[in-house]
Amino acid sequence: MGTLAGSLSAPTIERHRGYAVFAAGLCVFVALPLATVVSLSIGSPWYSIYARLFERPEIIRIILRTLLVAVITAAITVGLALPVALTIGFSSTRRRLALLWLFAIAGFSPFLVRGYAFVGLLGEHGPVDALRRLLQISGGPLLGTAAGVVVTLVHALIPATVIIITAAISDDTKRQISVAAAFGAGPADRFLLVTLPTLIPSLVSAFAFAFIIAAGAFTAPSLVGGGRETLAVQVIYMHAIDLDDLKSAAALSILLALCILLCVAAIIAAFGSKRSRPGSLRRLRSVAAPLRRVSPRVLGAGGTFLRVALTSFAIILVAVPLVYVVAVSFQPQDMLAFPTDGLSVRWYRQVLADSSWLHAAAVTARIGIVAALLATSAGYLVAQATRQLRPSSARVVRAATIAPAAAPAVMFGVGLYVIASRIGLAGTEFGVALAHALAALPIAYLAVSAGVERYDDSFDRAAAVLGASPAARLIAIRLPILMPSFVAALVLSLLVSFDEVIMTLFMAGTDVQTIALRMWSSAIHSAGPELAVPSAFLLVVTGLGMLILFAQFGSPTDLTKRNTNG
Amino acid sequence: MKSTASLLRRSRVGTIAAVILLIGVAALAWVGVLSFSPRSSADKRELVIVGYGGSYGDALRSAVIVPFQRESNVTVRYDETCCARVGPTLEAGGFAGDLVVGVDYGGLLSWAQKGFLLGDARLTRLSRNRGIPERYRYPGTLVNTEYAYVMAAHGKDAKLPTSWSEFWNFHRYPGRRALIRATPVGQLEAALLADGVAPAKLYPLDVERALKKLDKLRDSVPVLFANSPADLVNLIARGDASYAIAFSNRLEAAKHDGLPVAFTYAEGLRTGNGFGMLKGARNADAAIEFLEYASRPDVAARFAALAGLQLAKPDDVQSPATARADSSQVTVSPSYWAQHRSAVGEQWVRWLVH
Repeated sequence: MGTLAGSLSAPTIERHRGYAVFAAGLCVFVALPLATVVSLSIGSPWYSIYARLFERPEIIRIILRTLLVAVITAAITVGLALPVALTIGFSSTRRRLALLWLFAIAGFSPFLVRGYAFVGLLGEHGPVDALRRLLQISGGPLLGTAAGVVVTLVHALIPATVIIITAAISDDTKRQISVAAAFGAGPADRFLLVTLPTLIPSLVSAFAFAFIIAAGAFTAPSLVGGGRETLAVQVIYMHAIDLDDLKSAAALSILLALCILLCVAAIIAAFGSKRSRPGSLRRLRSVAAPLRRVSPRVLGAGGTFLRVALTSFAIILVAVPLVYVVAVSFQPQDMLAFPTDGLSVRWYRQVLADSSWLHAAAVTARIGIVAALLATSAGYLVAQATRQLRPSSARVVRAATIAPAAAPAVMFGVGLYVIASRIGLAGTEFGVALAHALAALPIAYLAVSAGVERYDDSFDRAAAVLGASPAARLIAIRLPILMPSFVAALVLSLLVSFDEVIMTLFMAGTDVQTIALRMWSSAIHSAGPELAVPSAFLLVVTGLGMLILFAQFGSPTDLTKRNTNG
Repeated sequence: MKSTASLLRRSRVGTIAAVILLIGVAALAWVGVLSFSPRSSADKRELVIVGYGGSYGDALRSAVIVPFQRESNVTVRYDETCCARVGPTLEAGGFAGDLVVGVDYGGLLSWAQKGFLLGDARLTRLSRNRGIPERYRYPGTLVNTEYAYVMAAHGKDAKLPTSWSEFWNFHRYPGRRALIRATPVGQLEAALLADGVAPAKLYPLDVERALKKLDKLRDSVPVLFANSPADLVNLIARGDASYAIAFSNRLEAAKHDGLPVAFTYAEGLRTGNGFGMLKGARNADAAIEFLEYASRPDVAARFAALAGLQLAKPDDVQSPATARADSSQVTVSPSYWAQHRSAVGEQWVRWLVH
């Protein structure tokens, strides 16, 4: 199949001019705000600001430490998300719905509040430290340490990575596993030689996503981190906002973005490219070989135990802060504390009496929907384009698509703002939606491309031979088969839009107020329980919404089944 | 199968898909632009004030904004997202609001020197007429309140250090310390006073010496770095930190709310705090009208009491009568910080991650 597609695509590059034009347009769209950031970082002579950065030994150290934290975070996240995705992908419909629901609503609770939950959970008087003392492990609370930052980031990243990987588990995978089992393949062979290879593209996507977000993290290290663990984006903020040094902030942003892009390129080259696949298969085979000597029953039980244990841990890590958020919203005291002294609805009364929250909710929903649609369509078109462009141009397009995530939001926000204010988009809801679409583009692209990469063009060809019109093929074949990826991309973009604060801050100006912005503004000087109320409220509302959605249409993974089988 | 016709048809799938999606996106964009047009800025009588939320915002709203709107025909919109947006937006030539409130005098000076503030002559006159002390007068600003960086402890009846050198006495005052991460202002001064520098010889700061003293703190007890002034109060109120260098106005508010915190103004580092008129202000007349009201003695006193601030005293008055101000307090030099914010900030970052 691969060779056939290759021989077909070579002489007919111009037939996809639409995609190429779109990809070129998108590159310009992303490049403009970045160019503004670059222009901010130009001194006289042009490299002077960068030279100043390199004269400061701590800058290199901060960047390296940030990348290290990001790699560790991404590795742990994917290590936990894979067993969860397998559990979700291979379990009964009901359990699958329950798990997907949990991970989806986790993502819809604003990260800011969950960040505060971690401050309480990891602190001196929190349950985690109580457990540590109980087990008599030496050391202190995790609050203020790099480990605390990693835990918080892993918590934040698990839902999205689970969704990315789960979307890649298709019925084909399941059938291949049954076939392998029928031919007598043991549990190790089934996992290492059948399941894992089909999931590699999605694992690479998930790892790259987790890495990018962790390397650009601001809220988690600000709330949970210590002094020595101050990460790169925090330093960028300090320069841009507290030290009134926008030029150094811009230069540092460019430097960090380049490092992140290089790392992602290295990750994709090492594991994600078609060329690397035979190598990774060989490695997997060499791992599988010695395992064949172990009794399949022991291996199967061990594997199941490991999977269940890791899944349970991931569920606890995701669910506990949510419980905390709900509990705190009912507490009577004035500050975020746990356990609470009693129950009270005073914060609900306070929030409901303030109509600005409701207004913000409507604005947030409008912006989120527009942004998610824009990001997902753009992500799909880019995924198609990168598939059909020459490898060198595809690499440029891919880099441009991921760039918004690699560039710190504060600088991207400033860059976008400069342009938006020229064309009158600054301070409008559509401007904010556009900024959110850009912010969500990387994750939407990663989610869609996981599906598009595996999409088999022979379906289209078969339908064409049978006389299906292009539109019919798009609607009847392409969209249904890619639906899980589309749903994943839409949900994830919605999450990004929902949580985005910094770019919003600039684009929204003083005129538009989203929930995240509203929470951020009240959090910055008063971190009280009223912050937890909208989150608890949203948890319930989105939870109910998801339940209805799932009951109506089945889970995203079910959609594939229905459409490919019947 | 590889006929030209099928290839042509195939090619159309991609193009048509792209066109359909593009049309969809364009339609959405169009609808979006139409329905989400910016709020009309034609309303000449709307005043946009950028400031902080929490106890500060509540106090400003109830003591100043609400009664002001009753007395005048100006509509005030109070934006609580201060102040991350202000600097970069003004640098990009945008509108960040008419007035900014609650900013330290050093920060206001730094903005003024970058051309971010409007040196309206009416404001300068107002500042003089209201008897704002000489040390807090600069075009484009109105600085009529003060607060201090002070020593705080967890627990209502906690034993408090009486001086910064006591704050560094880890035998008598054991336990975690909380500092603020974003800026070194006040914290370097505290370290130098603890190291025995005389208040009169504080400026220019010996930054290296201050950081060495802070090293001693970090090497002896665990130190938490708070994300914001509100977080600082949370850390101390919850007991995650036993002692903190914190903001007196926040502590006053926390104490008023019954949170378990104690603090002392002893050797507190006083800093001016007030209003600035932003470049690009759309409604300078209304801004002046608002500032005239806000600085009226009765209004200012009502606001300061609610916000936990003290009114800035004229230079010649030493009496700590109304403010629980202690004569041991030291004034943070605004001109020093306006001049050295970036350079000292870089040293602070180096120390933080070191």
